[in-house]
Amino acid sequence: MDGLPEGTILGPIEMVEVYETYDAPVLFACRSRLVDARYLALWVDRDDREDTWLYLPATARRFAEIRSGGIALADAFRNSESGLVVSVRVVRASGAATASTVNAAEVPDSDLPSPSVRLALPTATESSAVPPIAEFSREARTHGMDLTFDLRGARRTEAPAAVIGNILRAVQSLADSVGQAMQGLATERGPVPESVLSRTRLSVCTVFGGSFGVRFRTAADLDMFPDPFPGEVLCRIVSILGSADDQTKLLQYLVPLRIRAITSYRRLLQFLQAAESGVTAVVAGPEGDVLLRGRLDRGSATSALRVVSDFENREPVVHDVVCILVGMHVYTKRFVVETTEDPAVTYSGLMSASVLEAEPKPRLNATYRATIAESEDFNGVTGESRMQYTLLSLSAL
Amino acid sequence: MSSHASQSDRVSYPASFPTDCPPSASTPPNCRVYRLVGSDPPRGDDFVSQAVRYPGSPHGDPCEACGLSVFLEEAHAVRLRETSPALRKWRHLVAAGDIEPHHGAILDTSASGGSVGHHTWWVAEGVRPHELFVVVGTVGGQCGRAT
Repeated sequence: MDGLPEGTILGPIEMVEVYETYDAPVLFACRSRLVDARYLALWVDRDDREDTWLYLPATARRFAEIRSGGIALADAFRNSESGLVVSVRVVRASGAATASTVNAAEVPDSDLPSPSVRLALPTATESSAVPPIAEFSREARTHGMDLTFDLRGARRTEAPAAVIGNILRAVQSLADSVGQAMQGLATERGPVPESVLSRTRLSVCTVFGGSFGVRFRTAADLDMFPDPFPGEVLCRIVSILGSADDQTKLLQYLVPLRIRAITSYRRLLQFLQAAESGVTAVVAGPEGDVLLRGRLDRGSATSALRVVSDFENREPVVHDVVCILVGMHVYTKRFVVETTEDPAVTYSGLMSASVLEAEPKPRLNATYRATIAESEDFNGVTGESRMQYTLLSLSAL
Repeated sequence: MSSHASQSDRVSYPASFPTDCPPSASTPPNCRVYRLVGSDPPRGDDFVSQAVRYPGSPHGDPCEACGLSVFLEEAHAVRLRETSPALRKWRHLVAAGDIEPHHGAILDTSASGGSVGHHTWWVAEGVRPHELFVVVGTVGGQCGRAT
């Protein structure tokens, strides 16, 4: 006997390493002597006669995450991979032990470590599971980018899907608009040319702890077509992020990229703010070198959003187009026009009071010069954003 | 109870301690240490070693089982308490005590014990450790070798 329970459903076990001690181990790792099974054991209670322990079964990968601090201890127990933990009661006088499985979700908070407590031991298995970005980029012959978010309240290597989904979409959109501008093809709206997208398309290839990290790689095949451009786009994004809330630097990077990239970045900032998160970014190239690092902390994200929003508001987007009035409704105050250019662009939205009150009344299917103001309606909860158009004036041609 | 001397001729330890216990690497203490206790003021029951409390349960190193867990920083004791639910329930108070060479020997056992800042204190015979400690607020601590 090694002070460990015998004759229970855990089978014969042996101590691997001790993490916390109070006169005797109170948190330690052990493993089965018979099968490939590991447990994290935690002293949770005592009474006059017995001690109670919780044994958390964990795979090697999960164990590495726990050991390295990727998962808070309480979350590790609460979110046991099997959904179960083993409760072991040991009679102190005799060492006799009994064990039973318990639904992990039903373990009371009082039987778990405080939420913020986590181990933080160097753990080789974790680094091999997720190689450093430089190593990854070299081996994959790609440009890679790690974005690590410090989501407020996150205590494990998990993040709400909706939050991360919004952020991922915003990052891709930013890459597209930055790439478009860097190729001198900036537009305010509409599809981004495939010639741009083929070089800015990103893939998510892994997630990692941190509180939550996402690794991107560029989708371009560098073996077939060596191309530094995707890396340049990623570096520009990291430069923008790294400018934090420094207004001069931020606008220096953003303004040349035109309004679409500015809007894309503003959207990313809004998602970060909604998630109460900052972000750390690292870009590496196919030669295995780290190209750039940048950090936007939570507070700076909010300030940066203000800077970018102010800039957008200072220069409202107004379209002056030749178009055909294809629909209008005086009661709902809505309009639809279609430009005469090829391909035609359709705008729809609300008519201003001056258009509604104008005499003579506009005629359907007539050609006009229209002034249309563009604004964006962003829903921070759903993450959806929608362009809104207001018809400011119509002049018959 | 018979006793044997260790390190210092002036300090003796219970004969129940194994040979070479306290170990040769331990030092006479001259510092403030922190320990989790269950009552205010601390009681003798808060300072009972594993070897005495559970003589039939050879948990780990038999010499360390004869010592008491203490920390040089209050924060480390607090962290331990927040880690173990049992300690939160049964040893929820942090007590500080100034221990001196004649109170025994101390050794940094954070490597073997795992806990950050964990030290083991082997209490010299005749010392009533609970009388050295008081429940405290937040204070810092240093432990130097006694001269």
